[in-house]
Amino acid sequence: MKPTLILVGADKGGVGKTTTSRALLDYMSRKNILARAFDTENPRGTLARFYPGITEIINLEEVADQMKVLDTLNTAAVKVTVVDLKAGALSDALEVFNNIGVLEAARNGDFNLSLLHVIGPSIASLEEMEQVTEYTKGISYIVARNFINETNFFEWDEKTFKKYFSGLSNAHEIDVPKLNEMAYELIDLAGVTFTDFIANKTAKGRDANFSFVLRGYARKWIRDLDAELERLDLIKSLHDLQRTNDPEPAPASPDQS
Amino acid sequence: MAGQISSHVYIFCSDRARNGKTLLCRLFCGHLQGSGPGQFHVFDTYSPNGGLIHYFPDNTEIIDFSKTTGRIKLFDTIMAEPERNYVVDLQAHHLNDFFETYRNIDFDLEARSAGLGAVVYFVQDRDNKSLQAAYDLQNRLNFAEFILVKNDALEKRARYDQNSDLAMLLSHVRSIRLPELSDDLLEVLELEEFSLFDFMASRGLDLPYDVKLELWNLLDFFYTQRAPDRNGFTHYL
Repeated sequence: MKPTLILVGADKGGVGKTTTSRALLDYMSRKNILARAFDTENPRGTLARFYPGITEIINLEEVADQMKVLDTLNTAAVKVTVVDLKAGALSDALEVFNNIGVLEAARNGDFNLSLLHVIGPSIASLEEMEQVTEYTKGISYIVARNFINETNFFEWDEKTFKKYFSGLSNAHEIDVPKLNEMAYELIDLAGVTFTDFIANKTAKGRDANFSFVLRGYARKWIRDLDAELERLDLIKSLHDLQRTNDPEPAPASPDQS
Repeated sequence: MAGQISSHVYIFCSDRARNGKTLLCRLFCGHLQGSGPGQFHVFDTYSPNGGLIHYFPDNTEIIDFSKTTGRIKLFDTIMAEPERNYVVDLQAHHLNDFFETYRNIDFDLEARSAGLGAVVYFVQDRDNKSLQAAYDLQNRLNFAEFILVKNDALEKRARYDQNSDLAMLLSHVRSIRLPELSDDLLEVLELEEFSLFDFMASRGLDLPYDVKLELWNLLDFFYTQRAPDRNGFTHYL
């Protein structure tokens, strides 16, 4: 089965890239889809704080770290790789990947490559979509419109968005719904996954005392986001991958039949 | 799996203000006083000045439901001690937000799992819009009991079509009546020192005979309307 590489990025900062990566990893964890992650926010590693067990902090500008991600796609036991690109690194990363033939290899079917481009509600974000077009031909390109953070938020001008979006022939679109700010902050402070927060568990698996209401908001948010994610071919292919990896049930022995 | 229901949260609401909702809520709380001072807790959403808090200061807290902190306070308090009874006097303009939150956090299901039942009293106002609000709310609830309250004082000036599909649909919903009260009785009920519980225990205010009689008739009226809910509980209203 072909490995899958998912790049989550944006050139604009503060649009919710890491939150989207966390939500994606959370989804895969709940659906028993094994994944590994690379956090390029070197050296801090916000994603690594929430998923320390499966995340490695790397510097994607270093050749050794590029090798760590790309040269292991086929050999790693876990076939799904999520790379959370730090703010401003999307265009550079795509250029590097283009130059060293990663995009070409994906177009040739050596592995599945998806770009999850998180955009905020600004024209700068929309212009980013135009800028990455030259790289996204022949790969799975997903525009994630982020409504999580209402800071500096203005209502989406759908007409403007559609104008930009219609120029992208192969793009899929999802909305990342808004999560109650207080719930978001509490999850952030607690350093737990969304699933643990909803289950009222600490990062170490102990019982926590999180607000019932805020857990409820998070549960609703996860449900809505799941519905968005499940519209994507990428997610469908991950489910197929997981089914392939699951061991076949042992045939019943004559005694059992 | 649902736990056995042992306590309740009673929500008094309407899509309109000034239609008898808080009065009914007060009468209900007066009845609950009979079960002991610490046995029920009231959330008064008339922030900042409050309404019910003036009548039940020891049992009541004011909640600003327009803020997340207020919502947390209300629902988290309930879920932290689900063995108590709770009353929510919901200001009309919080109706949609309240039940939106209620649904989003799966309150119905979680409360039920904790052994807490929910009973929603919706005071129907005079027009079709209010009937529609009642119908929509009833359809949004899963496990909660929905009881439509018809205030006789409003019903006689009703502007909705009693033969409309909506009225017909609502006629199948369990409903109770709040009889029209005299000005004299309303004046007594407005008094902060009036306590229904004291009245029933024959303590407190020395009321005129006519008012006493009307009040006993009202209590009798409520009593005769009582019916068991889906879980076998018979509530005061």
